[in-house]
Amino acid sequence: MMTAFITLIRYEVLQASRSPMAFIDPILFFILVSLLFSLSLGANLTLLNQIGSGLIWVCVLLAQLLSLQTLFQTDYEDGTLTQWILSPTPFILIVYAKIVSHWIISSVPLLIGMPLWLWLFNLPTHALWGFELLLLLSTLTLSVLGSMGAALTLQQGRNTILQGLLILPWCVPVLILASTASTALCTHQTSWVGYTLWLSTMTALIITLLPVLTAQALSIMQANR
Amino acid sequence: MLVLNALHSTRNNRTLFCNVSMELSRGTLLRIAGHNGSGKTTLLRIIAGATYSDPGSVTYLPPLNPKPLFIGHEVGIKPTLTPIEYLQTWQSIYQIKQASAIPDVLDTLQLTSVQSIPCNQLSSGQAKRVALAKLWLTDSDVWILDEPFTALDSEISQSIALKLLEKTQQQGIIILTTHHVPETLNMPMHTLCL
Repeated sequence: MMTAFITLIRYEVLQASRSPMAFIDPILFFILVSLLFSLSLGANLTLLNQIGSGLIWVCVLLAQLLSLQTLFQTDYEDGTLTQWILSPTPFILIVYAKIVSHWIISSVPLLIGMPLWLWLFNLPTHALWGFELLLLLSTLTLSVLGSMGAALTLQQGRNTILQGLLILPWCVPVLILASTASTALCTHQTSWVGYTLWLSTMTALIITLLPVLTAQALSIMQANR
Repeated sequence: MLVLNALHSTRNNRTLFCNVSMELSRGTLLRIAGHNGSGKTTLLRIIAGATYSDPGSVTYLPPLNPKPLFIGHEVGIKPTLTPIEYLQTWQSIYQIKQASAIPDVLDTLQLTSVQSIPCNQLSSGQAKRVALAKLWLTDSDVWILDEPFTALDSEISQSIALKLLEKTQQQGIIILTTHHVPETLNMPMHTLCL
């Protein structure tokens, strides 16, 4: 059973690597937005420093949203979803494999690009590992939340706006916790640990509970196609 | 034995079929006939368990393997994977442990020359053959096939037909829709007209 899980992740990532725009799009978007911000705000280092730690989470959120529309759409349209539901492998395991591969494709490039971000916004380098941890937690949460949105909007075609409307309200707590923690981290306040713990609690809850609903939503969508 | 009990389907307030009841014993081939839009694919999807009939039920009586092989009209092949990679993923999700068989099957279906190029460069007939390769790899007792002979040349149609024949001799149950029956498939078959 675990072989099926790992094989599916391997081939999902392989598919994405053969059309590499899936990897490049989020990181490109990320770099573009940050460059535009730093250019338009002028050479004011303190200002960049102040908004940089909050702005990153908005960019992460939007970059994730951008990559979500392809999550289940092609599998739904070409009948792969039906094949998965009829297979002896528990469907929930397949949903988890899809979420993990989406996370690898859309978020690992962001994790790698983090030092660049700190440099662009003149953020203290001591905060790097804290930022990486926060990014890890928030991208995991956003991938799971996003999979739910993608499952619910399957029959609307590639409707990113509707997905956004559905998911964004649920992302607000992640946004608040991550940005408060990162601001505290940059200003050497120990309170960032507390916020990070809250964020990890949320991540753990969402990862364990939400995919069950996503799997259910996908089964219903598939049965009514 | 496969028991269909009072299957029913409506779409857009129009009844496609109702009260379809039938018992299929092992070794049966059932062809579902009907004009376009008569609900053939929907009936196949209900029997496969991909969608529901309300009311009605489909029962796979033991010792029948309750997981059917369903090859729908959409071929469902991933454009960036090669035929070998696609079939390996499918095998692993369907938990079939005979990986060595894939090259032989591709050889039978004359796909060896294209086995390592991405599926989006295959013709529709070749893509259909990749999907039908599952017939050689599966361990399901019940095969549910939607238009298995479309887009295939006559030679491959014959080998698919022979494979179906062999399956019924091995006490499998085959349910298919098709507009034309290849000559090789001259065996007793039941026809259900929608």
